[in-house]
Amino acid sequence: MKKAYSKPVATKIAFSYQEQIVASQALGEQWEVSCGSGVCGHLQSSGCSWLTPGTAGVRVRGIR
Amino acid sequence: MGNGLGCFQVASHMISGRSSRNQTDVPEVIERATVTADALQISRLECGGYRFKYTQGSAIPCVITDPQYNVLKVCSRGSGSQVERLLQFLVRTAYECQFARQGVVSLHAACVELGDGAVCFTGDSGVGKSTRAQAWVDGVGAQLISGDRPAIRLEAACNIACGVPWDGKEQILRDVERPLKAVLEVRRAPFTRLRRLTPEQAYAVLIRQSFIPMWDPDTAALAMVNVKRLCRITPVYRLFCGPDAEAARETRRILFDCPEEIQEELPDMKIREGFVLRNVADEHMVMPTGENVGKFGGAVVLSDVAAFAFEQLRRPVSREDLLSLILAEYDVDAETATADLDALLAQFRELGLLKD
Repeated sequence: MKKAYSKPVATKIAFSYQEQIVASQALGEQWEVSCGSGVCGHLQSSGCSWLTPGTAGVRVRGIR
Repeated sequence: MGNGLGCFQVASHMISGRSSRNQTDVPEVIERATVTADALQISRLECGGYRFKYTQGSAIPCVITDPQYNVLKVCSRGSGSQVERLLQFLVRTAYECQFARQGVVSLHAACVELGDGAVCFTGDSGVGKSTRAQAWVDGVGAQLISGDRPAIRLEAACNIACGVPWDGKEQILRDVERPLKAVLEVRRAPFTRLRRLTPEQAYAVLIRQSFIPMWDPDTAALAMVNVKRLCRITPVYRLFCGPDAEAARETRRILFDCPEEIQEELPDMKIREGFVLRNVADEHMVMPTGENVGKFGGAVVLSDVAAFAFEQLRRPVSREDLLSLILAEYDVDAETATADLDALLAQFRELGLLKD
């Protein structure tokens, strides 16, 4: 039996802060965040390695 | 009947443990370079040869070869099925290097013989190669030559599919050879269709599924040339079909009785590398990965049908075949589906997700 059809749509959600990308991932996933907004500066200033606030244990690595 | 590979007997002896083995005398190894591929560690020796061993564990068991992989020295300690199993992978890898230098392609495929010919089912792991091959056994009376990696000997007029003394879970170890009639790249579908691939598309499919010893540039180059030769002689088709015997019968009919029904070549599309589809809180969400994270600056939410299309586009597929897959999966008329698909593909292109 065929599935019900609905119009295929792709909707882009732009993130203001890179933290939102990180927060949407499962705990424990490794993420690389490239340089861009102020977030990158934050990562850079702490040696490209920092724990995301509110997501204990998730280490994020920034790359330029 | 011999398989003409010129090494079957030797390999059989080695794997079954009847060869004279160096039980404890491990040659002194002076490594020039070492690469690691999965569980295998390959070291280049001062003499130009190679040592194959497992990444974990000691130097034994190992296989040591000359630079052309013509002479294999097997070093092991003890005996028994566990030692044999450990050795099998090492010996197989060394032999597959030798194959590359002898004009033989080791192809990741399930291979069946039917009548006086052979057909290979290839594709990524889990796509259903073995299932399709078994459907040919059940549905059209074919017999397996190899369940996982037949050797394809390249010849001027017709390539030859050969059984080998190693295999995957099926453990088909047959010493037979048959002219290879076709290689079929398996795609799951509720309909049966064969589509001819361009030489470039065929090469892209087969190079992913062939043994290429990247630690040895000269032999790797030979292996890649072999794959190109394989594509030139043997037709490669994309096979859309189900897993059952009826699909096998229909595939056989098109392939051998009605080749005029084989669809013409068409350009492929594919989702670019660096995007993954995740189900987040019951929503289909495309997330950028790696360097794309900063460049893309967001994510893409897909509707159900859009997510289905995205999944199909993770491997190269033509617009027409993608449309057929949507029509087979969903309750929709062709006109609506065509217009919607074209609009979706335009969106994917605009977002930079699609590679034509």
